[in-house]
Amino acid sequence: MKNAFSRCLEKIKSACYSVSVAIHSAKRKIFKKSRPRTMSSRRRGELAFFIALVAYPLAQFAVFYIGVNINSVLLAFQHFDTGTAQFYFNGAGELFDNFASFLSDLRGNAARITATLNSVILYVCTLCIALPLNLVFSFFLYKKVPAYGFFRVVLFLPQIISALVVSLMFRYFVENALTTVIGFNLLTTKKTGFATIVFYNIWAGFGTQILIYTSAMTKIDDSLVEFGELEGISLLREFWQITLPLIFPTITIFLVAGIAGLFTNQAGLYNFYGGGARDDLQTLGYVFFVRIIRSDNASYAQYPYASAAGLLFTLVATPITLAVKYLLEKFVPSTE
Amino acid sequence: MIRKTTAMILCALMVFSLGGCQFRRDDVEEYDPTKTYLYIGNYDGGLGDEWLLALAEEYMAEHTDVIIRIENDKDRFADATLLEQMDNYGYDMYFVNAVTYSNYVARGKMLNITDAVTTDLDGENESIADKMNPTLREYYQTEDDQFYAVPFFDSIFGTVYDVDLFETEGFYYNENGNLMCDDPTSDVKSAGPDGKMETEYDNGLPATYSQWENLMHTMKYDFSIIPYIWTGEYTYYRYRFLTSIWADYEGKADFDLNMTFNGSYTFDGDETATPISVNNAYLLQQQQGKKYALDYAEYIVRNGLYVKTSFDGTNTHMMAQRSYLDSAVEGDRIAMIIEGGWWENEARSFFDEIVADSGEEYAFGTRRFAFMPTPKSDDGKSDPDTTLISSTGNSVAFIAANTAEPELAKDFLRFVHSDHGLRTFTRMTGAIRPYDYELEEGDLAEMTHYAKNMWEIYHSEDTEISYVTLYYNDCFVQEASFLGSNWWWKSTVNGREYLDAMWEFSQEPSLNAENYFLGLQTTFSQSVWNNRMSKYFD
Repeated sequence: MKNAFSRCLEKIKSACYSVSVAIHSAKRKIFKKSRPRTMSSRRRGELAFFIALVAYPLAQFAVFYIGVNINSVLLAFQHFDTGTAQFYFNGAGELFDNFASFLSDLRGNAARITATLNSVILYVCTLCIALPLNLVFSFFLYKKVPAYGFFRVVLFLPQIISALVVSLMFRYFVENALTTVIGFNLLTTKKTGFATIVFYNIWAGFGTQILIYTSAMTKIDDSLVEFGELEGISLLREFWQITLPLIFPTITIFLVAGIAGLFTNQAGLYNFYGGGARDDLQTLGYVFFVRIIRSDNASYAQYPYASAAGLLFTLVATPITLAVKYLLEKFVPSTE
Repeated sequence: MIRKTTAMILCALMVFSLGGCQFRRDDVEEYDPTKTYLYIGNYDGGLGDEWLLALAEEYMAEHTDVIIRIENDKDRFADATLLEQMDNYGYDMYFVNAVTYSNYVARGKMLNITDAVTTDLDGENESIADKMNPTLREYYQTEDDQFYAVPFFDSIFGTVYDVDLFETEGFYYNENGNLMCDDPTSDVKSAGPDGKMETEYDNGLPATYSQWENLMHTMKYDFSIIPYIWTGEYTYYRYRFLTSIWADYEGKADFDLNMTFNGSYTFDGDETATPISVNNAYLLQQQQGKKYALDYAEYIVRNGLYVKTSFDGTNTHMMAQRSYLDSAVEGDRIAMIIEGGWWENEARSFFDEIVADSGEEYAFGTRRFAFMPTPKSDDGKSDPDTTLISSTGNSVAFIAANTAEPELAKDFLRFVHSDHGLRTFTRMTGAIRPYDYELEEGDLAEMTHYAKNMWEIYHSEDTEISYVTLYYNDCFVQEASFLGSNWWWKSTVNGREYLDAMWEFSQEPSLNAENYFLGLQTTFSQSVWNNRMSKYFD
C-alpha cells in the first residue's frame, strides 16, 4: 500500500516537472528573437539524397500496399459491370452480396470445403511434422554432427534454386522416376495427391527454417551450454531445457506467421498445375489466387468476390493470430 | 559529390522506370522517316506468323511507302494483360488468341471498324461482315450495330485419328457394317456417322456408339494398339472432349442453350418443348447428350483405352503430340489424340525430328491424319447433323483505339480479309478462318491431308459450329465462381463433388456414367439455382 502511494507521488512529481519544462521552452520560443533558419548546402545535399533514396520504395509502398489494400476493401462492396467494364458500388440492399455469395459457397460448395480442410491440414502438418523436424535437424547442425556442412548445403539447396524449378523437378521425379518404381503416380492418384503436396511443402520449406533456427541457436551463450556439459546433461536434455526455451521467441514468429498465412498459403500448387489444379488438391490460398490471376476468363468480375473473401479471411485470421501470439508469449518457457 | 551523383542516379532510375515502357514508333532499326509504319502484335501460338509475314510482304510490295512490323508474343498478348497494357505497347493492330470482347469495347481499347467491315472489299462483291460466320457476326456486332473486332480463326476440337494406321490395319467399317480387318470381303467404306456416302471425310468411321465400342475393343485386344492419348497438363482438354460429344448429340441449337439461356428444349420423354431462360436453365443438366458423353468417358477409362501418362500433369500437350507421332516408329502404337485443330501445325518440328531419325515417310504432310466426328447414338436420338465445338470463337483481329495509322490499319485489315488473304492463311497454316471463302486447287495441293479434311468437314452443309468460349450471357461473367467450368461437368454424388469425369472414373470405382449424370442435376438443383441466380431472373 505504501509502495503504491509512493509510486503515485513519483508520477505526479514527474508530470509536474514535464509541465514546467514545457512552459519554459514555450516561453523561450515566444520571447526569443527569431532568427532566419537557413540550410547549409551540405544539409540540402543530404536531404536530397535521403529523399531520392526513400522516394521510390515509399511510392511503391503507397501504391502497391496501401493503395492496393484500400482498393481491395472497396472492391468487396462493388460489382463489375460488363457493359462499361467498370466497377460500381453495390446498391444499399446488395451491399454485402459478395460476402453472401462467398459464405454460400463456403457452406454448400464441397470443393470450397475441401480447400478449407486442406488449408487446415497443411498448417497442422507444418506445425506437427515440419516444425519438430526442422528443430531437430537444426539442433544437430548446431551441434556440428559429422558432415554437418554437407547437410546444411543439401537441406538449404531447395531455397537457392527457384521455387518453380524445384516444384518442376519434384513433379517430374514423382510422375516419371518414382512412378516406374512404385507402379503408380502419387500426384495423380486421388488418395495420395494431397499428401504428396504436403510432403513437398515440408521438404521445400526445410532450408529457411533450419537456417534461422540454427542461427538462433548459435546465439545461445556458450557458457550456459558448457555449464550443462560439465553437469553431464544429455543431448536430449540440452535440447529440451536449454536450446528450446532460448530460441522459443524465434519459433513463436514462425507459428504466428503460419496462422496468419492459413488462408493465403497456396501450397505451391500454382507452380505445379498453373490454374488447373484438381479440386481435391486445392487450398483456400490457391482458390483465390487463381481466381484473379488467370487472364483468359472473366477474371475482372471475380475481383469483388475474391476481395470479400479476403476481407472475411482477415477478420477471422487477425483475432486468431493475435490470440496465438498472446498465448505463446504468455506460456513461453522461461529463459531464466 | 558521390552523394549528389547517387541521388541523381536514383532520381533518373525512378523516372526511367516510370517512363521506360513507353512505345516509340521510330525505335526500330534503320527507321525510315519517309515511310509509314504499321506495327502488328501477333499471338505466338500454334499458327505461327508465316502467313502474316507473307501477306505483309505482298501488301508492302503494292504499297511501297508502307513498312509493316510484326511482333510475336504470347504472355503479353493474353486477354487481361493486353487489356491493361496495350496503351503502352503501341501496336496499331493485333491478331490474338482470346479476348473478352465486351471488356475491350467498354474500355474503349478497340477502334470502331464498322466502315472497314461493312463496305464491300476491293474487287469483291461482299464485305467482311457478309463473309463472316453468322454466329460470330451476331456476337461481334454490338447492340448499336458497330464492329470493333472481327473473328480471327476457327479451330474445332475433338478426336484426331491416324489415317495411315486405319488404312493399314483395316480399322474402317465397310459397306457391310463390319470392320475391314474382320471382313475382307469388301473394301468399300461405309457412309460414316452422317450416313452420306458423298461426304467422304467421315466414310468408314464408326457411325454408332456400338461400332465405336467394337473398334476400341478390336484395337486394344486384337491389335494391342492404344486407342487414345491426351494431355494431362490441361484438364480442359478432357472437358472439351466430352463437351464435343454432348454437343454433337444435342445439335447446335439445343447445345447453345447452355450458353445463351434463351430458347426452348424438348426434354427426354416430353412431347412439347419447354421454354428455357435464366429462370430455369438448371433443367439443361438433364440433356441426354451429357449422359451420352459420359458413357464414352466411362468406357474409355474403365477399359484402359488410353496412354497411362494421359492424366499426368507433366504430360504437356506438346509431349502428347510428340508421343502420338513417335508411336509410329517406336513403342506402343497410338491410334488417336484428343486435340484442337491447330495441333498438326504446332507439332511441325516433331515431324522434322522424326524424319531425321526415321526417314521421309514420317514427314509433315506425308503422314495423314483426320478428324473423327462423333458416332451417333444407337437409339437414333442423336441430332442427325454434325455439330463441332470451337474453342477459338474469342480469337480476334482488331485495331487499337489509339493507333497512329487508323486508315492504313483498316486497309491492311481489309487486305487480310480479302479472299486472297483468307486463302493464304489457310494454305499456310492449315487452319480455317470463320468466313465464307473458297480454296483453289493450288491451295489444296499445298495443304496436308489433315488440313484438307478439316476444311471439308468445316464447310460441309451438314456441319454446325458451336462456340464454347464465348460469353453470350452475362451470367457467365458475373457468376464465374458458380457457373464457370462447374456448369459443364460438375457432379455431386453422395455429397461429394466431381469435376473431371474422365479422371474421376479412373479414381472412384463407385462412379459411373449414370450416377455422374444424375449428380450433375444435384449440383444444379432448382433450390441451388434459385438461391444463386434469382437476381438475374426475368
